[in-house]
Amino acid sequence: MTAIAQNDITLIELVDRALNKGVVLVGDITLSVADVDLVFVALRVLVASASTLDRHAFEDAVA
Amino acid sequence: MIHLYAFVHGLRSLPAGERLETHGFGSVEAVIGPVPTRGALAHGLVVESLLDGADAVLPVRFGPPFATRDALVQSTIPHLPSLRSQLMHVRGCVEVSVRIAGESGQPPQSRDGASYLRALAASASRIDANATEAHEALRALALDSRVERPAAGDVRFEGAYLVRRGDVDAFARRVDELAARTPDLPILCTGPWAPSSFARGAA
Repeated sequence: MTAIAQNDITLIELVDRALNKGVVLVGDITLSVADVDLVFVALRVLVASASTLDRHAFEDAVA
Repeated sequence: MIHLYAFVHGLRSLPAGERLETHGFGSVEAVIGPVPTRGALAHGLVVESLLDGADAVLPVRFGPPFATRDALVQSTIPHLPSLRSQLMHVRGCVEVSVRIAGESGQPPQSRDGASYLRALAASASRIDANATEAHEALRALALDSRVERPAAGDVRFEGAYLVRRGDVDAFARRVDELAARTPDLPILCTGPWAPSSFARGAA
């Protein structure tokens, strides 16, 4: 994985954790569409992108 | 307005930058401050920074602020027994997150749709078997673990592991070993994090 991809994932995971995990004393703030958390979606896309980046890096290396 | 970041035990120092203070409930301290202008990002950064200055950190989910300190106290008091218990559970520990994505490489090559679907199903089974094996291996190095949201899309498995601070390097080495054994199976490991996955919602 490239350093940039890793940094993006870490930053979005930080926000995902802040919004979706932890003790809840009162109320909740959720950014979602059709019950799917938007930050969570972004994290999935980035993880998938990182996997694609890895593949491309491998293909470039053997080309 | 008062923003609540986390509950801590054994606090030695507070991170600088967000005008933080504490409100004590006996052995449990609430880390509070003005509402952060940078929202959830600032909240997350403070929570993670607390790991450096406290024996136990129980993150609070980013949420609406309390109107007064009395409102914070009244909301917290009913949950103190649970908060104390949870803080003892995560004391001296951090969280490590592990995700396993679908296989990298080319999609299965097949002559027809049925054999293509069979190949896809076989691939998914193999990934799930490897994820189960990885989870069992990693769980053995952790005090506690959670399998996160149901797998969907490219991410087939998400695990959260409560690991003693001194065991994080050994845990990371085990992840590297597992990744080396299955190079076509992307494993993403992040952390150490404050143990948010082991902080139960009280409301």
